[in-house]
Amino acid sequence: MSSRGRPGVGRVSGGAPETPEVIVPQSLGEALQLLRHTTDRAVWAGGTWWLQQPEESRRDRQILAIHSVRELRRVVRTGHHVEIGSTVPAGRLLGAGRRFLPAVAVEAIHRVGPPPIRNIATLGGALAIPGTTLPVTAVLQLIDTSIELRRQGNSRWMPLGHFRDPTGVLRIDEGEIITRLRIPLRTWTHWMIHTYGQPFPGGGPSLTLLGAASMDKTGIDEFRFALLINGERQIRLRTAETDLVGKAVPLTERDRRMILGTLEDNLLFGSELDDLGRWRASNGLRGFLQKLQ
Amino acid sequence: MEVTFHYNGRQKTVQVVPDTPAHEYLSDAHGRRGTCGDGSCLQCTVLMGSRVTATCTLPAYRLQGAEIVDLSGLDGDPLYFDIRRAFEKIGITRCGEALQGLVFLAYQLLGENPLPGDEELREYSRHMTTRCVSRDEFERAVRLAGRIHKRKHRELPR
Amino acid sequence: MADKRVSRLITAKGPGYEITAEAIAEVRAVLPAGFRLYRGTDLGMSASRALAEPFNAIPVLPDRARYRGEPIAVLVGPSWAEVDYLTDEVPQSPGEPPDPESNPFWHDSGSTSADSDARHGAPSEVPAKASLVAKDVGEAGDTRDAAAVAAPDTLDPSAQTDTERNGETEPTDTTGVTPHVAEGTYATALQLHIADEALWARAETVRKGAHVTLPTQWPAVVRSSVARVLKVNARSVALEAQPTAGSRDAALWMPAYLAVVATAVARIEKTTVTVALRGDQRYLTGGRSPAKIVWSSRLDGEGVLMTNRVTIDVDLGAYPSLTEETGRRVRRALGSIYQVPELEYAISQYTSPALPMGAMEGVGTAQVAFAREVHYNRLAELAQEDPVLWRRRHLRDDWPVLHELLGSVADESDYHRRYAANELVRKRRIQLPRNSKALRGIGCAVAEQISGMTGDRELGAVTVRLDPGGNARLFCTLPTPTLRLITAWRQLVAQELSLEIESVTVDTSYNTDQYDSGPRLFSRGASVVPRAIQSVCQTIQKQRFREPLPIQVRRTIRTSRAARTPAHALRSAGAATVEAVLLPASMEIDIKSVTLSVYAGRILDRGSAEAELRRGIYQALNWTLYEAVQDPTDIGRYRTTFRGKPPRIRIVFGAAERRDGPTGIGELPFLTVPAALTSAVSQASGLYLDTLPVRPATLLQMLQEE
Repeated sequence: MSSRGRPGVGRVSGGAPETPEVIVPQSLGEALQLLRHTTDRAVWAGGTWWLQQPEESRRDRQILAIHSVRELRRVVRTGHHVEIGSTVPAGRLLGAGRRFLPAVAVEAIHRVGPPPIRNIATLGGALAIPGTTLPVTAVLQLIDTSIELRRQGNSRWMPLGHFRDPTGVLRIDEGEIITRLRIPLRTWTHWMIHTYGQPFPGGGPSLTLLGAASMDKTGIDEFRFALLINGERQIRLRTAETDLVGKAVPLTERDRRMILGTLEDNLLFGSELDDLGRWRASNGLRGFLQKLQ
Repeated sequence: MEVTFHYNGRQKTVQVVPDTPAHEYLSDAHGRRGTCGDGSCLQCTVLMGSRVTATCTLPAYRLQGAEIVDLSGLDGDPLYFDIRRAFEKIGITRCGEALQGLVFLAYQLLGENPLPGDEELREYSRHMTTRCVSRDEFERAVRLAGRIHKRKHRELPR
Repeated sequence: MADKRVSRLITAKGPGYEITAEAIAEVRAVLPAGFRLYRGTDLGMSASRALAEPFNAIPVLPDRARYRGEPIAVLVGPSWAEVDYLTDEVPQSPGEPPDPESNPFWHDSGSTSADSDARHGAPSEVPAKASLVAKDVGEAGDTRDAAAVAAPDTLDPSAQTDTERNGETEPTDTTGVTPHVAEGTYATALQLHIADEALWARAETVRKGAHVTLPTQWPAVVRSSVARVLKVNARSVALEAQPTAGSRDAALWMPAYLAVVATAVARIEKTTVTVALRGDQRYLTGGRSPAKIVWSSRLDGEGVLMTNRVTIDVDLGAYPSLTEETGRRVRRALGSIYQVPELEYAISQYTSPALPMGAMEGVGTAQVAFAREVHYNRLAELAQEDPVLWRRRHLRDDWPVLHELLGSVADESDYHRRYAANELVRKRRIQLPRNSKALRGIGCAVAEQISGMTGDRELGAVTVRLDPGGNARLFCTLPTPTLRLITAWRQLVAQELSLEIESVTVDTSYNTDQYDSGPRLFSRGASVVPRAIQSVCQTIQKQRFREPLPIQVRRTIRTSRAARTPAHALRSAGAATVEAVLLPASMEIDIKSVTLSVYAGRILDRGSAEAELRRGIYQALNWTLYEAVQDPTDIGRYRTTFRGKPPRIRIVFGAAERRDGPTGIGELPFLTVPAALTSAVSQASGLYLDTLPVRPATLLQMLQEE
């Protein structure tokens, strides 16, 4: 492909980037091979997030555009889970997956953006945004999604919750790309996604409350609750989640106080949220617990 | 880099900087428009294939081989005609460039389901950021367009 | 036509920023072929005020920015993508912001008594004592920080005879009636226009003038501005006004600004040049000015309003525009629909180092109407009276429409019962925990809208020609009406002249011989123009059977007579009730219903009128709850649409007499809904709210402080 340099770019500001070369592989093998040879290529799926960043932050010499890779655009459903290719546009997934994906996941995918964005944006891209956790990522994590990371000659599955280290850095090796997401097909009888503010990069302060639970005849079978603060930090009440399993509903006042206490004891809860955020988080959790009947 | 695509059925070849937004290369009008940069203002929306797409968040390299249609490319389309009719009837008359995006949203929604439910409609309308029309007006207009289109479709001789 | 040379404005990174001569030289040395960078001085503009009245205070591309985001240069190149890329690369240097002492300050004060009020009906009768004096102002928000002064909680004379206000004790009235003073400080935040249409201008200079193409609703200002820059007669400027869908009027000075820049650059480049606002520069179209209003009322022991003392500060941003018009409208909004024996007022419009604001729907009156109606709801509460009934005691009797509207909106929304029920719950709740369940409230407001400009700028003409074949041709100077409006005009002509609508044609193409009657902002398309059409048709009807056809009659559109004879003004009225629920768990406000009752004379197109009102209601709700930004240039975070659950909206049109002409309608939601919603949330929460936007964080803080 021919390329044309940006006119005078950098000579005004001091740097000297050039028009990037774009390589569009058609198969996964080709893509992995290209990545193996040159590991410093930027990998673009939908590209929606990249284009919303300042130009200076995306001055890559080479872009590997994987939107056309056939293997990454498949959706496969089995009895226990659904496997989604990492470059399936979110909009297409809504059309096809509405019938079988967990309702909480469908709602989360809706929140990827307005329809004109959803038709280009991909789940793989959403998971890999550096430094930012979108509500859809937090929800997929909440419902035990795992991801496949592949490089040439090697493939590994990883729970989505392990994909970022505590500082937000992605645990992805050189030459690796996200190829598939595996979402367990579990029925969540109760769920909640409540977003305050705009949970997107540069959207200012935001708070997302996420809850999912499945009930059986005897009581709580599974319980999950998470907070996403400013699209950066997550609070997950893992101990309380475990303690609640098997409890009968309605919960006793002691159980409720226990889980609310766990939330309020969390250091991030105290330091990163303002009064209103703490008020909303506590009441959101209280409200979700009340719904479990 | 050079990309070749179809714009309203006509083949077009342009030089692009591949990691910049595609809307600037579609036409002068698109370039003049500027954009919100995140697809919410609906001003740079087109149909790519049959899906509504915000070209301000579409990398220019993805134009290669694409079928792009704007409003003028929909002239003669019966669903488009019904949507325009419904918009006019409900009184969505103040929208300028955002009109194109609103029409395309309706077009995609009704293309998938001629009689969309409240939830489906809300999924489309809750992202609207234009001042020119309120959410419930848009929802009423889409419902009306769906009814008109469905009725006409049913009345067609088989 | 393809854009030959394109250009974008380069905006300042902060107040005082400039592009120095050294930076210019450096940039020019490295700019690739085909690119040019110009400052205002290079285009010969910064020394003089290039724009025509009423925007002549706004400089085009000044050397040094007065506010963050002000255009200070222009970059010209061969394509949008390349120019966009380089626009942000031009280095800028911080400098001292321009001296604030040079800021003009518009002030008007006066008073009215019962006598003059009865004769003329409005405080607008007081001759304006507007003057321009220097005033030192700090940051834009300085004057909005004053805390509200709590009003007395009771009118029981035995409990409190005098009220302390700002540390001073009010003396007892000499008439022997024990007065009570209630004072509130009301503040509204800015509301950005964020027009959703592209703003651009294409210009080409010809031998003795220019040819300019752009979308605008105010072509006369564009032509005069371009003529000033070229130092030629306005007739030498050929203007091609592109059709607009309607919301571009909010751009106000921006079309003229872009036209002037395009013309100046085209003159140097000697080719066709197009200038357009980039998407992230749409904040440049300004918006509704922030205002602070201190409203002090004296009531007698029966809760009857005796005196109003009002101080209004309007922040115009860096450069003032439409100050006289805003001043007139604000004066009128102070008390024209209420009977108040005495009114004292002081209106100040000041500049600050912030984005220039201009007129937006309501043109200054929305801020005053908000303060007035919230304040009056508070007075009714102090009088322990239903606010609708309290208003009906105080509304002017010479315009029965107001009473009818209030009655109909109250009936339609079941206001009296709901208000009483909510009041009961609120009073009982004082002893109960607030977060027990959803808290419900209902509020009301009433206001008047004046259509057309009240000053002497309302120019324009309507001509109707009735041909021998029974065809009528309407020619109107409104440059770009919507298709729907054109149909409404045709219907009007057909009705008045007893013709078929098919035989009426409308010609609105703009040419240089026309006057121009200002933007749609002043509702002229649905009010001023149809009035003129009606008048023209009535004249034709009188001549029709006495004189041979064709008959052609022309009427000049005149200034609205609102200021002189309110009884004949193009005024409409509206009353609204809003029912809202405060969800204590999240402090979110869920709006249950909005009922709006309007009188706007003859409604030309019911569908359009209703759509316009609904759109306005949503915008007003958004202004009340969300719209405010610290940094207007950061429009990515600015929320222009109401994203809450849509409320149930009911619109009731008041009956019009046969002879009633159409009046404007679009501002009524902005004049009534914010106050009604704020009062509803006040009732729901038990808090006295007086500032827009009503934010959940503020509610929580106030509740916790309690």
